[in-house]
Amino acid sequence: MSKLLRKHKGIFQSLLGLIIILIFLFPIYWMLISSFKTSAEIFANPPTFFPKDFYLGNYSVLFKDIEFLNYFKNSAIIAVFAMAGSILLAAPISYALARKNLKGAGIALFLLIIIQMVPSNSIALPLYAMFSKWGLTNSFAGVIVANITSSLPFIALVLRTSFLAIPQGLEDAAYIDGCSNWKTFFRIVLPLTLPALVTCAAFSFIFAWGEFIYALVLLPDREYWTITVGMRTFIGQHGTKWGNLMATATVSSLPVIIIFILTQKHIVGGITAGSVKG
Amino acid sequence: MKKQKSPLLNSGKKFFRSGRYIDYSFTVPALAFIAIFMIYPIWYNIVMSFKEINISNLTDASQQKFIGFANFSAIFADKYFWNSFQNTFVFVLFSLVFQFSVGFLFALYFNKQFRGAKWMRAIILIAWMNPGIITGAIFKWLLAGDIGIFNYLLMQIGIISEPINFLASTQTSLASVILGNVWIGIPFNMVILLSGIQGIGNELYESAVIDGAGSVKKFFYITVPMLKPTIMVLLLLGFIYTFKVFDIIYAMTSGGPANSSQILPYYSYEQSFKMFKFGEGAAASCISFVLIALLAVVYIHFSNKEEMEA
Repeated sequence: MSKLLRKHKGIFQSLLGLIIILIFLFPIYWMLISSFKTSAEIFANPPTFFPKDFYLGNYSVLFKDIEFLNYFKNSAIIAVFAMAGSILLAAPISYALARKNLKGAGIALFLLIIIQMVPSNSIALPLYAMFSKWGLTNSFAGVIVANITSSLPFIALVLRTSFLAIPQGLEDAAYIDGCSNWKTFFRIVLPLTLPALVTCAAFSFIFAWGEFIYALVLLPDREYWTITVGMRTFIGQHGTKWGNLMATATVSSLPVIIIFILTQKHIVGGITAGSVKG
Repeated sequence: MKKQKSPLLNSGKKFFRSGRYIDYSFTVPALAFIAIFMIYPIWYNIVMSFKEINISNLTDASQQKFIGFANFSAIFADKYFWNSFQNTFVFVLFSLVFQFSVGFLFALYFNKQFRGAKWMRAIILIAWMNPGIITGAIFKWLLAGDIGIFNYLLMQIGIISEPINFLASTQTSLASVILGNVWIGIPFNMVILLSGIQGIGNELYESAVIDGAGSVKKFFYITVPMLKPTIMVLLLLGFIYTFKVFDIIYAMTSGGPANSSQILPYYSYEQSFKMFKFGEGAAASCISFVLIALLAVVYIHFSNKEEMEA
């Protein structure tokens, strides 16, 4: 018996790992499964761990809901622009901090690490006050800017580590060929760090997609609401339509899960680079 | 940091002729953005905390009176402030303990080289990536009083005899939001610890085996001491991230019932955007900000140390 166990140790380990994953990710499974249940089945006792028949009603209600579709569109606009903005701002500074021998580079790095820790709810109020003055509430521009504040420092730290890894010779060669510094940066250096850029784009998109407090505070009017702000109207205090809510949750998680699956190889390294090594 | 080999041109005259200013120009967009939209708001928040600000004079600074520390004394006199203060530390402490210990167990297990370990490590991260408001909605459904699956499972096992309305009871609401937050934090702790574990050289373990050390000994005499810097940084980061949690609490309990699951960021949000006492909300934010800043300094201290030791 023990010989058998030893021989198949790997299989047992994989099996146990799988069980751990299934238990840990049960909330995700339950969200998915509940979204395919009729309201009768939702209330069934004992609960069913797999829907009796895949009921699509929750989804058809959702996709006919003009408000929901609008929230989804708003979230997409905000997330895409926040992503582009944070990359465009973060890439040059992280390049300079990694490759140029700048005075004060240490201070700038320190600033990025510290500023990354500022709680978004501490900035939400002053941003709201400032943006009210400047007419930037109920505007995508304002909330995009607010979203960039959450991802810019993190992305800059992640990108810096990948710029450090580029061989110096390439830039020198481009420089001799008469490329200006910024030209070298865009033509030579940026393409070399494409995988890191994609990872960072994924991060900032995911952050902005799930962001809540800035959207809540800066976008009071319903027509500008994002999916996360809209979600709270689905979470009613009493008599929540759980099937509908879980269908909304599933559709709203989908972009995150898809992007995650596409980039997961790099994301693990990115989290470590942005948090610990700084 | 890596030092470049290119010669340093220090003199100011040479600075522009040599094109050194171009090197600095790379930092301008981000630094300008950080100054305008991050540092200035922090300053603005401090200024607001010393002013009387309500909905009518929010956008007109000339109508705002400086009132010294009145906002601070008002919130210090508010029992809900102290309630949220206390809740914050319970929330942070329990979140950290469970996130860290389960995350550590996961890291140790998924560090083993078995088939599928790699994608299992990755897929766990979905819990961390998913929007907090959605996770909050899911946990609200899992913990629902009448028909939630948690109640069903607990009753099946026989731990409870009748369903508990977890989110609507002052005794269980804080524990419930902690549960949700722990679930989000486990993958993050796992990933960071995993990278730390993988950084420990195999030679150490090999020589320990030669000396006859078992796996328990190896864990306590090699893994834990070698991970100490990572652990310190991770706990501090965990503290900072947990300290600012807002969305899952909003989704699960809205800080209730009777403020029993309200933590500091939520308190400050309510002061500002529910009661429109913007000055007091700013004062409450200032307090969380000071606490975070203190921790950030500790973080820098430890991460510098780690870099030197690494």
